[in-house]
Amino acid sequence: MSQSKVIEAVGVKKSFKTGGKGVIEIIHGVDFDIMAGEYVMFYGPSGCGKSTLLNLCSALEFPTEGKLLIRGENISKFNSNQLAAFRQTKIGIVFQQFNLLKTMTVQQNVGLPLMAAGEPRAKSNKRAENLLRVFGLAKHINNIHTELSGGQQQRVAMARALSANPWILICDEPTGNLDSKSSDDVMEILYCLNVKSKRTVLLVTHNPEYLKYANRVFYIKDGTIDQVKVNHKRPVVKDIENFSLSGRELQQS
Amino acid sequence: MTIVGISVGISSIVFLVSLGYGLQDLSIKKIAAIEAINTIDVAQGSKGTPRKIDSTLISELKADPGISKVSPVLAIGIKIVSGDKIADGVGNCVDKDFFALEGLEVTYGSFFTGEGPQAVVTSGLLKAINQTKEDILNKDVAFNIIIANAGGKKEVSKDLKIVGVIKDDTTSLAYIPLSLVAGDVGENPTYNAVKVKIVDQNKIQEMKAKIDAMGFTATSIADTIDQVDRIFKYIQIGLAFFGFVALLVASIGMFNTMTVALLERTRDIGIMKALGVSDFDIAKMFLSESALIAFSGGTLGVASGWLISKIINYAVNALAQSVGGEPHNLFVTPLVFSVGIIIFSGIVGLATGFYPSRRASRLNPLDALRYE
Repeated sequence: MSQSKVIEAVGVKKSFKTGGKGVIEIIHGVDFDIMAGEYVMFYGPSGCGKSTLLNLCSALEFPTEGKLLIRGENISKFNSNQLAAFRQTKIGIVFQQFNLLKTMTVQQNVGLPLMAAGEPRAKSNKRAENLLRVFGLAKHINNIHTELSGGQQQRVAMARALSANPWILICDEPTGNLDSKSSDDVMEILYCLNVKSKRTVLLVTHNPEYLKYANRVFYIKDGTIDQVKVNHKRPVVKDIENFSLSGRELQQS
Repeated sequence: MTIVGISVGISSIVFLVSLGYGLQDLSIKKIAAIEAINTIDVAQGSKGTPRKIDSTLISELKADPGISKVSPVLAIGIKIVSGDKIADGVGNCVDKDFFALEGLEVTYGSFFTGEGPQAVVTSGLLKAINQTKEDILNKDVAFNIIIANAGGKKEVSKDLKIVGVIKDDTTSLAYIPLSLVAGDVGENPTYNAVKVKIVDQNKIQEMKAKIDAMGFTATSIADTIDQVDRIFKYIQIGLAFFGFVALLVASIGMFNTMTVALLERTRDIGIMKALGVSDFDIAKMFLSESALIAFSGGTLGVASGWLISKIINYAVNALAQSVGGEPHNLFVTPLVFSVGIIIFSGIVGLATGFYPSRRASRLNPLDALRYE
């Protein structure tokens, strides 16, 4: 595993304003590092702050105090254009609710981060087509999201998150809206992405069955990191149907 | 529906303004022929000791470089005899330039042809002697011409061939060549009026002032046309105002549409921002959409306004012709106006889309993602 830090949090706190003049602190000063190629999970009960922590790492939220560096850059100081550029190519997000755009086809959805980065339509379409083939969805290129199952939609979302070849894949309870079979498929794909293509993965879950995939698990409790467990033994990677490409091939798709 | 709303507003503007332009055009055509717009009518002055309109004045006017034609008019009394009918009327002794300067059009036959005893009469005069154009055209009719000269009144009988009839049932008028009475009016007759055609229409007021300064009264149909233009300008403004009210209502509808679109797509905007779509691109998306809606509505509105005016014009003319009237073009839609209104509707689209696009670009992605 590479020793370079992808995410570095130093004394990170996050507060929110409540109605009136009240302020509530959700994250109470956390420190952690995430190395390149690591698979890290945030685990904890509802309301513990794991999603807030994930949003901070996604550049969707910014610390109220402390420092959060992503590949050495303090994203709190970015303007809106810098943030947009950062979100286009440095991070890929997979949401619990899939969040596919209703007015776009599967191919257009997957190609969107590249289009946002200014790539020509032909190039983004080609990249999308290749990724969808990798994810076993080649025949659904021209479908819209209502024509796909939940598991298929989440795979489209994962393809979209990968289209700009980001540094980090960030997943917020990606199995939350799926049945158990689809959930297992999604988790196995993410595991493959981490093991085979050395992608840094940061994932939030409340399902203890999936903790086995992570290199490290951060147990979040009441807005702090209660403990960190290291998995010395992770599952053996098995080839998933229609998903057996190495990282190099995935990068070149 | 928003496009339809915009197009209704635009088509009503196009329809109403086209009607204004059409009526203005029609009125001006009715008032004067094109040549008559450049004409000044010179009559005896009313201040001090008025000068006579005589050969001296005719020479002075002909010598002026700003004047291209001079056509004197001598009024005479006439009696016209046809069978057992005798009718009194007024005769105008004129030259061949007079008819174009007066803006007259002959309905049957022609104006003066060559020299020789001839006359052009009005349909009112024909009615007075119970004749039709078929009975009288190119036929000789006996005229008694009463001329006032230095020696008093002189009555001369002449047979004149009726070469043309002007449709005008309200007057009993005959136009006779001035050369025909030259020998009877004396060497330096006093004319009743002179028609003067000026070279440059823009200098008409200048020439009128010059003639007034010479001791005469100068009037022009251009003054009437200016007044008509001014009146129609106000009418057009009034009609356009109603049209713009309709467009304003449609614009409010479009603002509402874009705001609702923003609310409906809040979540999508959050997704796009989370994926790295820039604030500028988000704003551009909304602005482009509103401009396109308004532009489409404007184009459709201009086309439908034009079509509706054509249909109504056809129907009105068909009705008019069925009762013996003449067809006229009631609607005129200048190209510049059509292009201008389409561009204007695009600008309205940009204006109404500005606020929603700005709001969309400033949405917090996380808040937008949570929006239900």
